Amino acid sequence: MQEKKQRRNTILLAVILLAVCSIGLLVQRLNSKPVAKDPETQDSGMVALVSLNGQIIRSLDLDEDVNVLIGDRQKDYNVISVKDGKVSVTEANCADLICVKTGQMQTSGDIIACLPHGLIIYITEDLETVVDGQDTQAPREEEAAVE
Amino acid sequence: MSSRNPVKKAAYLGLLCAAAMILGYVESLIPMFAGIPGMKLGLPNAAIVMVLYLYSWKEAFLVSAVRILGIGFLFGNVFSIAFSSAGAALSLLCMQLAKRSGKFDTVGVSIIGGVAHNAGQILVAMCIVENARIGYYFFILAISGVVTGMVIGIISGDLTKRMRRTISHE
Repeated sequence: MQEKKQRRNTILLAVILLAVCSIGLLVQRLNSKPVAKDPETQDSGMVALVSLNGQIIRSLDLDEDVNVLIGDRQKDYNVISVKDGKVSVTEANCADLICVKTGQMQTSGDIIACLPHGLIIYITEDLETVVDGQDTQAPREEEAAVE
Repeated sequence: MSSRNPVKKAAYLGLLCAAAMILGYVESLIPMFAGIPGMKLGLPNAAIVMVLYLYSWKEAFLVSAVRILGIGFLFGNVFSIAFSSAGAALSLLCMQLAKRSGKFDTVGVSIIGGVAHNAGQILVAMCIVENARIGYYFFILAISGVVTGMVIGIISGDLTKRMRRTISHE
C-alpha cells in the first residue's frame, strides 16, 4: 500500500519536473532571437558580450568578423571567433574544452561558457548593458579581421 | 539490515566505493552532449543510492567523499573536486530528505538525487564564473537528471533488494 503511494508520487514528481523544465526551455526559446542583418541598414544590432569573472571585458559587434584572444597564451586563454554573425570559441587551453565543443551560437540568450577560465560569452541586443572602454586585467592581443 | 561485523561492513563499503569510482570513469568515457557542461549519465549515483538504502546517509556520505577525493587527487583538479562535491552534497541531502519522508520509492529518490546533483553544480558554476547566466543550462540538465535518475533508480533499486539479502545473511 505504501509502496503504491510511493510509486505514484515518483511518477507525479517525474511528470511535474519534466513539464516545468520543458516549459522553461520553451520560454527560453521564445525569448531568443537569431542574429540577422536588417535588410535596410545591414546591421543586426546585436553584440556578443564577453564576461570574465563577472566583469564584461569586451563587446563584439556581430556584424564584423574578428578573432579575439582573451587571456594570455602563457597562462589561460580562449580565442573567440565572430564570423557571419556566429560566435564560437575556436581555441582554448582549458582542461575540458567544453567551450570549444559547444560550437557556434547565433541566438540571443544563448551562452558559451568556459568554466575553468571563468569565461561566459552571450549574445544580446540590449545595448544598454554594453560598457565602453573598460580595461581588462589580462593582457590581450587582437588579431586582424578574417577575410 | 546491515552486517554487524564492522570488518565485513568496511569490506562492503569499500566494494561499493570502488564501484562508484569505476562507474565515474566509465561515465567519463561516454560522450553525452559534448557542448553542455555538467551533462552526465550519473552512474556513480547508483552506488551511492545503494549505500544510502543498505546502510544510512552517514555511510553514503563517507563513500561519496572517498570517491570524490580519490578520483579528484588521482585524475582531476581543484575544479573537478569542487564541482563534484557541490553536486554530491546537495544530492545526498535531498535524497536523504526524500527517503526519510517516505513519500518516494527508490526511483523517486534517485530522480531527486540526479536533479539536485545538477542544481548543485550549476550553483557552484555561478559562483566560479560570477555570473548568473550560466543558469541557462539548468532546464536541459534537469531533464537529463530526471531521465537518468529514473534509469539509475530502477537498476539500483533492484540491486539493493538483492544485496540486502546477501548482507544480512552474514
